[in-house]
Amino acid sequence: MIIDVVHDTQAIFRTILHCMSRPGTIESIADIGNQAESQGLCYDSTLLSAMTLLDAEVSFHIIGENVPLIEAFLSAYTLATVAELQEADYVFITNGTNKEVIHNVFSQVKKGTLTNPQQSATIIMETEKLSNDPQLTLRGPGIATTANVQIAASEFWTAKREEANQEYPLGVDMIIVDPQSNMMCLPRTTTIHDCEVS
Amino acid sequence: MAYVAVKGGTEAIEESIKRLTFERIHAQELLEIKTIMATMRGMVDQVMSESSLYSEFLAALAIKQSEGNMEEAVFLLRAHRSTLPRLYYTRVVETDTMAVERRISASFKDIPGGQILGATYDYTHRLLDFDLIDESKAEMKDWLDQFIGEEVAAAKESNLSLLPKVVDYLRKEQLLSEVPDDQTEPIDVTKQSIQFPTTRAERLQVLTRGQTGAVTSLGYAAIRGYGAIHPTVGELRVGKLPLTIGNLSDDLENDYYIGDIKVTEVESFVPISIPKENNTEEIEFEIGYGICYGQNETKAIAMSILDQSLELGSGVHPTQDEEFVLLHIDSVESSGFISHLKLPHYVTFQSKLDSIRKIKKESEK
Repeated sequence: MIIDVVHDTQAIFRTILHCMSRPGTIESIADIGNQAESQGLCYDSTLLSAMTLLDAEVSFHIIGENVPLIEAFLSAYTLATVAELQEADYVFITNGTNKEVIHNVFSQVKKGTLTNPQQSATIIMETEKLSNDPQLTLRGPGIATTANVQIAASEFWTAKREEANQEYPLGVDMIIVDPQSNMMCLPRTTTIHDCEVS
Repeated sequence: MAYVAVKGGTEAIEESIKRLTFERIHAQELLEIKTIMATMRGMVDQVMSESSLYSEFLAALAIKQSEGNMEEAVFLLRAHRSTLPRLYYTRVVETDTMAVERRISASFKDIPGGQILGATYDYTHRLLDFDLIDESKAEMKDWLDQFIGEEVAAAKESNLSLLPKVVDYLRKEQLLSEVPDDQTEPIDVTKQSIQFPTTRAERLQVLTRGQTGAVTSLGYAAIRGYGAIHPTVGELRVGKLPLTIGNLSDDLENDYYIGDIKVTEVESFVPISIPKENNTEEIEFEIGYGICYGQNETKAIAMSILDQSLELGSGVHPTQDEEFVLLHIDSVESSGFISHLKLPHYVTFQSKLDSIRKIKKESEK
């Protein structure tokens, strides 16, 4: 994977910003960086997000497979430090992580304090597939009325996420990526409901 | 009334920005970045210092873009600074490793290592030099050739990188008490907004990035009577400090040298009277510390005054009040708040008018 650390990460940052402010919007970062030579440790979009968000000032934690390899790669390229789950600023959950582990992540991660709600973790989660098919309905700031999304295996964590976000402004923000390098964001202000069957 | 004020106006704004570009280039004179870097030393230094970003090139670009408006240049550079990744921290620098270009003391005539005047405006006549109107490159070259020739002829073996500090000399004489090193990790004010009461590390950070004019004015006020100190400059030095970063092995021998930065450093001696038991007073010296990027001696001296003033912090005078000093000397904060007054306040103003009208009506009844 070859990326231009300045301009590519700027483009990705812009994409994350857009997706955060318009929850439910799915944007692709597939054309950013030369992804011919994939690392194969996790999705390319996960690595690209990490390269964009991490630097020596922040910490991260990896959940899933290949943990030591991904940790070594990210620390070497971004100079960010590995931290315990409870301390980490960014938590990456690779695809295939089981339900109990994901539940544990949502209950353990930083959710900020009432005086500093921004001192919370951002979860970057991999999923098999992201689309705008009607499975879940999103509501909240940045969404005109409602937005429909389908996130593979979302039933693993939507209830846990709601629990983590119940004491607004405390909570966690999420970035969800799929193998086709699609990206979607769920800030803590977005509520998720099951689509009503009509 | 709906909040209509913020809607529309896009075209007008675009035209206004075009107008700004027109103002900058309409005379069709090109100001090269390298020209600014080569000739606007004082301005480049001030912008770097107030922005907390040491890059002569970017400071010169900011000056060019802002047509020499300091507050705008500082704003641009601070904004750029916030987008940069933070990768490494340099090792703590001891300033006695400075490659000194200028070094004076107002407290002692004979300081170990001697007084080195270096480049300064202090001894110039403040008369306009009309010769500069027609300065030519050939003349410049002649002057330079002659100057460099004289320099080489006059140069003697001298080591300017390890000059002893005046403070150390006083400590040896036991006129100043020893101060233990403070090894606590400083709070970075650019990452975490300051909370009162502040630590000295935070105060020094805010002071060193303060607006030159504001720091100077408040330093002056502290001497003139809105404060209670009158310092003597113990040592003022201007020179380059070498910066290194550690590597993974954490062995000082293997540090990487990444370049040097030019700074002005001031240590002021401030006499403090300490009441003794039998109604007598004893005078002791305390030190005010000032440092800033580039050569900016007035700011560094004023900073040393304010440092000591805030360190005393009795709160009798405004210059001893950390909230008063620290919250008002920042260029972006003060110019930002003042200029936000230009933005639409239609609704707030209308509501004020409304209440005035209501009160008038009622009093007329």
